[in-house]
Amino acid sequence: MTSLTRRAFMKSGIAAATAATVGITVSQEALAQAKAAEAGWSWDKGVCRFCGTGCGIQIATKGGQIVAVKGDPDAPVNRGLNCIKGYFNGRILYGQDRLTRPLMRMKDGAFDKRGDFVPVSWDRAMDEMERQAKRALAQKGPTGIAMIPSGQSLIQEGYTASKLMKAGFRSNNIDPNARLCMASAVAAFYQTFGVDEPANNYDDIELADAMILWGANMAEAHPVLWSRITDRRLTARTTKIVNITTFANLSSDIADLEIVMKPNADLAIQNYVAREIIARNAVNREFVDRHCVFATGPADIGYGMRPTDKFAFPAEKDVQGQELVHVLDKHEAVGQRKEPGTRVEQKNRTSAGKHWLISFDDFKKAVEPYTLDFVAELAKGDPDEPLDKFKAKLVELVDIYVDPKRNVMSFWTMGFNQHIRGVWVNEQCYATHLLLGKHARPGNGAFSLTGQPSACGTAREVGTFSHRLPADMLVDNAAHRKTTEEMWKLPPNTLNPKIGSDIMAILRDLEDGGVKFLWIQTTNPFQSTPNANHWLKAAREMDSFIVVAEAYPTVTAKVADLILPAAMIFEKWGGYGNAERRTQLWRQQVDPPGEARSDVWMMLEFAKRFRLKDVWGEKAVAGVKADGYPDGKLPDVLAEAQKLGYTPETTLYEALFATADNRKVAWPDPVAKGHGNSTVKALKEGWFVEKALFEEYRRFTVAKQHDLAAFDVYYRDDVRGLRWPVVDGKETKWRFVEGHDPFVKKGEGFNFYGPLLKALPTGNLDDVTDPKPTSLAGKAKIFFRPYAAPVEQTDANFDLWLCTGRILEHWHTGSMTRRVPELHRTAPTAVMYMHADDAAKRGLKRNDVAWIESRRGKVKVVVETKGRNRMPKGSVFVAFFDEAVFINKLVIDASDPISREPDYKKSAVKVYKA
Amino acid sequence: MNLSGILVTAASGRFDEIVAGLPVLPGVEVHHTDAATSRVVVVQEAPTIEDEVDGLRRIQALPGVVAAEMVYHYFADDPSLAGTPL
Repeated sequence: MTSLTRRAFMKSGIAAATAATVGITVSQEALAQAKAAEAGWSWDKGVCRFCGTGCGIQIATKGGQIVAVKGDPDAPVNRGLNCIKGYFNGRILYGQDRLTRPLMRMKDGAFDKRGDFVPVSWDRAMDEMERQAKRALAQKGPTGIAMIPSGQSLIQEGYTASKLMKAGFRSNNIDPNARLCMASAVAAFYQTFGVDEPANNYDDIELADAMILWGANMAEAHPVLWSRITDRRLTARTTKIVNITTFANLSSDIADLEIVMKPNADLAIQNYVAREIIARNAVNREFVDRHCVFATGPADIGYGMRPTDKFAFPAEKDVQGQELVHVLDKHEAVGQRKEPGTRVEQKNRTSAGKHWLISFDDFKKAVEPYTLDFVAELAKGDPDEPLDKFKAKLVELVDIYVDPKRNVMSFWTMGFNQHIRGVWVNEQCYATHLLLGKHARPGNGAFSLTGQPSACGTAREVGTFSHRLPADMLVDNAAHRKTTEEMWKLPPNTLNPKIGSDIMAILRDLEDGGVKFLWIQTTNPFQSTPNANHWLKAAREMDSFIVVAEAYPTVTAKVADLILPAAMIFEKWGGYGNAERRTQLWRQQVDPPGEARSDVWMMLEFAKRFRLKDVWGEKAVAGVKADGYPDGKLPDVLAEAQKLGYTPETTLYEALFATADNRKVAWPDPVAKGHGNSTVKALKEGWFVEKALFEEYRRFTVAKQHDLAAFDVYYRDDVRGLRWPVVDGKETKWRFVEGHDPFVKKGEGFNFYGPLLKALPTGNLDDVTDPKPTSLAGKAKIFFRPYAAPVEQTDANFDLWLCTGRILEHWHTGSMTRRVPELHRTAPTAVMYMHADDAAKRGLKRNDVAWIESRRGKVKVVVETKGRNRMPKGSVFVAFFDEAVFINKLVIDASDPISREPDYKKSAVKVYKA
Repeated sequence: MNLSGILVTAASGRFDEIVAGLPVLPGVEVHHTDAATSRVVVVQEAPTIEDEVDGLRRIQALPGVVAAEMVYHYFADDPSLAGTPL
């Protein structure tokens, strides 16, 4: 066959396969052609590597290479479609700068922090890691070592990391990049429902009559879900789409109502909505009385910054000072029923999450100041929009929410979560839906979307956070530690009861010398965390050892001391969990290149180098205070360990991973259907690591309302992931509601059975009045949360708001979507979107190069006054994918004090001609 | 050499116009049409992934196109596909 005819033949085949995938009828002859074009290929199911939507894909391999990827027609999430990022799923494995050998900074044959990267053997790399980790443990104890995994880590990787750190090294200094995107959602789930993750699911899109986006540009960030929303809008003509945002964007294009608001005004708008629900007598009394209580908490909680200015750049000190004392502005004063100018000492900055019960009357009194006039004046984000028009929009928003004939879904992502009051805005959205009784019902609910493919499945469900254990258990809860110690066959009081450092605290620990050994996996924190100049300097100048497991030379890899070449998604067995509780597992499709290895293998090999006597003796950990623990110490548990059959010489590999039970899970396994296993091959042992670890983890979930199915079930040909809890082989679409959730009994209607934070004291809007705890078993909380202004404000010097975020073609820091060199042409560099008048005022026009500068740093950027984002005067937007436009150097590291998630959306900047 | 199968959905009443307009774009061939649902299956050929991404955005930007989504992506560097330029 000539190349031309072969090309024509391939095209006809691809066309027929495409048509068949989306349900367009084609002839038998065309289908035969499709089959012939794919001769010699082997297809298997997988999951898209990118966002949290969790699209199902089919992967074709031939001769040990991936040759094609298609949308999976049987995947209920995406029904055969891919977004633009789908183009990268296969190709990301084959970038020319793929890392394939360990690289260590060396000088004269020895490790040297100031040396250049030199290829070394795995043994040499592991020797140095062992030496450095042991040095850190000797100098600082368990808190001297830290790990930053990812919302892209596979379920088994997260589980291994968590067990190695928490049970092995007894350090809770493990915190994933998911802290940067989901932590506010998590804390709000805990506080409102007592359990993490959504009640609703993606099926609701086709059941809703209104979809309200709060700080979620789904057209760019969740395109496949957006295409389902667009379909719903076009086929059910009465459907309304509302886009609430700080600037007009692609999601505005099909919106029926666009509300452009000021930063943090979502807090005020939602209180206005609550006030109106009450005023219009739209409270669903039966639902609220039976299933909800009202609650509030302190407002003087600080801003998640350091309490000292010792490490601040001089220009940062004025804003940092508000961490301890904040003066209320006029809107905050009204919203918090105080006098403007009141100096408020931030007394609850370390107890920000505490809360108590209040009465409905108190709730009503609290939202009373949030009138239409007050909120409209505070919230209107586009100076060119007439106030009356903006007010009419707010009224229409309430009309949509309260319409009894309308099913309403609210969706949000980073606009809510990356917010100095992110937990509060999440909770307010639940409050709206709970007041109306429009939650956890088909077509009705408040739904937190995720940005990473396994922020839910790994970071949250496995619990790779500094405060979490598997299945919603917590390190500072004695009963949870006991359960976990029994499951993991650990001596009592092995686990560290003190919450560890969150990701921002780990970086601050690097800066002040508290952390000496840091291992980063599947994430790029030195580009993705705010106020990056501090952490870049700390990484290179402090006496620490930073290990980065990566597939490509990211910013983070470049600041490391040791780079470990990592296997990527389809080069290993694994699983992800998406935003609607859907767990999806895949087989290894191809071998990793060169000496690249799976993260699980790296951790198991590392675990072989530590004996129990190294880690389970008495260890000093400042601040430990718990029953069974000497103050400031973790007890020596070696004697108890002997009763469990361990000796001081047992390695962590044997004690935690290669257990007798796990070794029984043999490789090869029929579920593999001939696929390889790079982890097992490199480990040179006969147990099926990923299956054994998944099954071990699964035991935590069963009968805990988190139930996962058995490993093999997810590999069945008729399964495209399952939404947990999976009970008696059946997935759960809607949680907490009778008839759908197997844990809700007949006659209950709803049961918000989450067990956490379900006994509360009682108080008024200001404080606790009766400390005696009341049980709220089965109920959800409706929170009052007041308006609070962004901690950094624009002023005469820094006169523009900077918002950062994601764009369609590039995912996060661009580690994968920017690999193929030619790619850079689509979005050559991140541009700065700004209003044309704002540009003109500074002597700038479209395509000019400008400086953008904050208190923390400055970068050069190209001005864009047209295109996908249409900024109101006074605001600019820059995406964060481009390391050449290192925008996170400028962003403030103020965070939500409850969730510890940074606010990337509100920094004050100035812009001037370069 | 990269080939992708793309599903294009035309706005109501603009199906014929879209079917006629798509082949004018570089590397785009119309292969299957379904007038009842206003959907068109095209195959796009492009030298690089970047060109494919650009091409898909061009399709999405065509007036009268409601949606264009990549369904199938073939990207092997198959030597038999190189050779005769179009």
